[in-house]
Amino acid sequence: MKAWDVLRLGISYVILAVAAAIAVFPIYYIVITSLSDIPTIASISIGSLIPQPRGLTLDAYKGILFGNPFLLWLRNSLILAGATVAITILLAFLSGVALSRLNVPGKRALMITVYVLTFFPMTVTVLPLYLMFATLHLINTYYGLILAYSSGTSIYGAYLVKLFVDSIPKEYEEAAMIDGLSRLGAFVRILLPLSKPVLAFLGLIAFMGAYTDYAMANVFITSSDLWTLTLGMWYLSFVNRSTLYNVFAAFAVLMGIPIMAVFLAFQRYLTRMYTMSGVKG
Amino acid sequence: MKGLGRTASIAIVVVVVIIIVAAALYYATMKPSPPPSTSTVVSTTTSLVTTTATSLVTTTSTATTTSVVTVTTTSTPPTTPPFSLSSLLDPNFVCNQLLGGKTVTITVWDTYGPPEDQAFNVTLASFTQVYPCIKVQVTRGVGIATANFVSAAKAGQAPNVYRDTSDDAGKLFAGGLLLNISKYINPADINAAYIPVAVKNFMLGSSIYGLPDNVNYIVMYYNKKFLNDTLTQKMFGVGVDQLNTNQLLQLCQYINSTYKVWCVAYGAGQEWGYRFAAWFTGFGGRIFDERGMPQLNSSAMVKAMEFWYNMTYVWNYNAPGVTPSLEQQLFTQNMTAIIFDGPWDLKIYQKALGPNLGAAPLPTISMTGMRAAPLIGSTGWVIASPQASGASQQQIYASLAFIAYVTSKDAEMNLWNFAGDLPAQKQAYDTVMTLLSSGGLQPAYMNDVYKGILEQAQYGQKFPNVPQMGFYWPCFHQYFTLYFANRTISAAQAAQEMESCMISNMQQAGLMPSS
Amino acid sequence: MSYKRNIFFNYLYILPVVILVAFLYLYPILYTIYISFTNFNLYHFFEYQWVGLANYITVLTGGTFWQVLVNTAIWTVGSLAPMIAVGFLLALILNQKDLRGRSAFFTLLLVPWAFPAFISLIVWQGMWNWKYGIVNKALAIFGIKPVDWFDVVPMAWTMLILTNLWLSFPYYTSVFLSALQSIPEELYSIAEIDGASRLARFRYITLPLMRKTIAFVAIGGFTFTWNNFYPIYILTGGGPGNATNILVVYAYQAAFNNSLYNFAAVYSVIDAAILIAMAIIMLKYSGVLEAIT
Repeated sequence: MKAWDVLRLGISYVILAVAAAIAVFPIYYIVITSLSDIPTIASISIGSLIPQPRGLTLDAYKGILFGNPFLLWLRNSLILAGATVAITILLAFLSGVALSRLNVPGKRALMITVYVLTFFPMTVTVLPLYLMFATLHLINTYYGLILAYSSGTSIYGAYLVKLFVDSIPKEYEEAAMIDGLSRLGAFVRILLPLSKPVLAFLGLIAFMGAYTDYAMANVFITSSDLWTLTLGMWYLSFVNRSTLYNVFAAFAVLMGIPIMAVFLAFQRYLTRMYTMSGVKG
Repeated sequence: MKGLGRTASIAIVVVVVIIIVAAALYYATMKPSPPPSTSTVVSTTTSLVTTTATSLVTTTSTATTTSVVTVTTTSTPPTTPPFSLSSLLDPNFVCNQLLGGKTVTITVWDTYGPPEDQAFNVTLASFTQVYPCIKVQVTRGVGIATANFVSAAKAGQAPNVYRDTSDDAGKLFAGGLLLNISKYINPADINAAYIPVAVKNFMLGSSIYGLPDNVNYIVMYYNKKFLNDTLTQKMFGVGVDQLNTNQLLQLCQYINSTYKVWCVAYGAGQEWGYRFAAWFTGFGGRIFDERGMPQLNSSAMVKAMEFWYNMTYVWNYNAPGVTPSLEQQLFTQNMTAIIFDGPWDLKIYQKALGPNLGAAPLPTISMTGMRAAPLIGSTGWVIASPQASGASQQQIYASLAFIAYVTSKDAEMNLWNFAGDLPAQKQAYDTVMTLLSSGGLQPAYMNDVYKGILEQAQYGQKFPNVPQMGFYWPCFHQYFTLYFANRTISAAQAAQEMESCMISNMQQAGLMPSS
Repeated sequence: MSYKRNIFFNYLYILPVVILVAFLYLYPILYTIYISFTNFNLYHFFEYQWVGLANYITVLTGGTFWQVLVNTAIWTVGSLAPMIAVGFLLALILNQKDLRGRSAFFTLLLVPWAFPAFISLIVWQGMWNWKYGIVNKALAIFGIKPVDWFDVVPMAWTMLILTNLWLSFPYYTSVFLSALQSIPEELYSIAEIDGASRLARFRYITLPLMRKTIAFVAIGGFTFTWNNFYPIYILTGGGPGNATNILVVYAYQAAFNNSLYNFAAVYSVIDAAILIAMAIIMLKYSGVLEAIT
């Protein structure tokens, strides 16, 4: 038994170490590239993976941070991502709770229909979406993008919340309602705090979607005052027919830092989003 | 009973929601929506649009008559089109005569990258100063040849002015999205002001749809450490600029065995056909015949494909599986002697190789005795058609003045100075040529590099800008990559499939030339 | 409060999300369906005609479409199976209570997810290079000859699926891990007292309890992977030829390389129709439908 445990743990550590190395390696690669003075990617030899002091430079970072409105782009990205997170959480919570707790005739058919609509590939519907946004004057605004980013995540989130709330005993709110809270009040006071893990998880997905999007932002934002980080990155990195990979990589590092921070902050929720659900599911 | 009520309420709610949303959307999107009955929208702008759309056929006559008109009226410029180029460059005439003292705002999509943008900023600042009557709203960082222009045009919200490649703009013009500039500016003036190849690039039939700011094409960059005039003189008695492919093969043999580096790094396996067109033409092929039918299914295509396959996998002279990024890395790190690239990357190579950098025209194909002929394309400024942008006549006039100004001598000299772009404006081009022939560039070795780049221009081919050129890229890519991937299909099959792919796309698009 | 009025208020909870999705999808989808029956393309841009089923007939009678459809199935199933397997395995490993440094490992494993996917994909493209990529250099250490990942079709699929695995496994790992952790500890201790082996505990406690979660995640993953655009678009662009092309990339290329918007619309409509049919079948069959509605 003891020997088996040692072996089991040993194998586990090996697998985890290999997996972690593979997971992190490309990021290391990006960091090296960002410090290079030559705008290329892909290594010529194993040796070139170890940075040589001679070729190291912070020029790419300096250019991005001081030669360009990086902070403006960051602010725009954070506004978009933040609003998307807020809307996603609000809508997903409301509809998730309704799906789980309330008597809404036909909710099943309605929600499935709505869910199925999101299967339509956005890559091609972007032209009609543009025409619609153009008429509604949503081009070059935050609103259009925020709505577009929120739609997919809120419908998916509604199901996650529903699964989660299903596992919370009904007696919790019923007790609160007897104490004089309205139903909505009971949801907000009782269910909302309990749903924190799943909402955090959803927030994370919504944040990532909005923060890293290029395709939609490229279509719906043209004014440079509203540029997001991804648009700025494209502008600086892809010049004429060539790609300045060192600038690209430096930008990726700068852009990745806030996401990493958010991920670290939210990590503990990731393992708790199923804390009470899943079992009964 | 309860069940019935439930079903009924589901139905009611679903139907009501859908109707409300659909109705709201219908009313909201009335204007750009596609129904065939929107004749009101079309009729307001027909006068300009229909002429643009049919200009392929009709402008031959109008162009010739208009040029006659202006020759006779040089002293007092007319206030109706066509205008002379010089009158558009006269702020007094534009502001007071054409715009009648009113202030006009135009929207501009700027597709320059960062170094070129510095030049554009200088030009823009002086434009706003000398044309106080024209307010310019610039959107920066727009991708060149972007699909966004098409979407915006469909919504009737395209920018007034846009900068595009000549071939992409050719498609847009054929679709009626761009203004026929030869109706507004004397074609004779345009021909006189810009170098001929750049004007031809922006010409479909006899209509001109843009003013060029820059000419571009690929050349052969080489590393003088491995390959130089001394070596080629000793081996073949010619300079690097006079090589043929047989000599290139011997050189490659020599470079491979002596230096253990690649002779060439050309990512043929990822080609979309831009660089490959040079070889195809050198082997005696052409992309289109006079009628505009594709001619890819030819022995020239087969031989050109086989040549590069052999270079890569049989003789091992060309680095296999490389991407443009990797080509650059190999070249900048002295691991390949030759790459094929354009002036847009010159700064990167200058920085890495310094005086070892050389540039020369692509070699002659020994089999045919003809030069490999790169596509000579241009970028330039175009104006959206009124149907695409909703522009008023005054905005069109202001746009004309703007594109005339940003392609004027000073503007193109700015681009040369900041970004090293090859000018398309004749005086700017001549200035650059004089500078080069007098050896006035610093550092001095760059004079030779630029001489090689300019020498290539003699051996180029016109960039086809017929709309069906748009199908050349994907069709070539699809079948060439299949051939190159371990000869999944034979070269002859690939050539045949490319051509039929183009033809079927042309049929689907309704672009077959009438015979 | 009357019963009916109550129901009306209940609708208010789900109405926002319904309206939002309807607002964003209904018109674009109807428009796309409409233009799939017309000759709308860049060359018939402002004025175009109804052509009936002609586009559909052209597409369905051509060979490429069927090839691309098969590719889409290969891509989806081929990606999903290893993602779920690896995600589940890593979750099981991380769920061992006597393992030290679990949260540190978990953090490192989340990195691929926490980095913008399109950036990682561009880096991966360089790493898979035949002569100069780090993958082949690493394989050389084990004496494996360099593999041409881009030009040999089975290798191209392997590369695409492995890259997609790298991108996606953190999501599956964390979902499965949190589901595993939600299984009450007592169930295991009771089973252990009863003398159930580790394998038996896994077989009779973990798997049945995880079944719904796996099904839910798998169906979500299926619909996502089916329309997952970036990996194939950035890595192979569907090549060589159309050997690794999938419907959503093919539709994009029809629209933006060939400017044939009507054909792009046809591909999208067919793509969505097939996906919806399959999703509904899977939801019904797996019993997830009851759980999520």
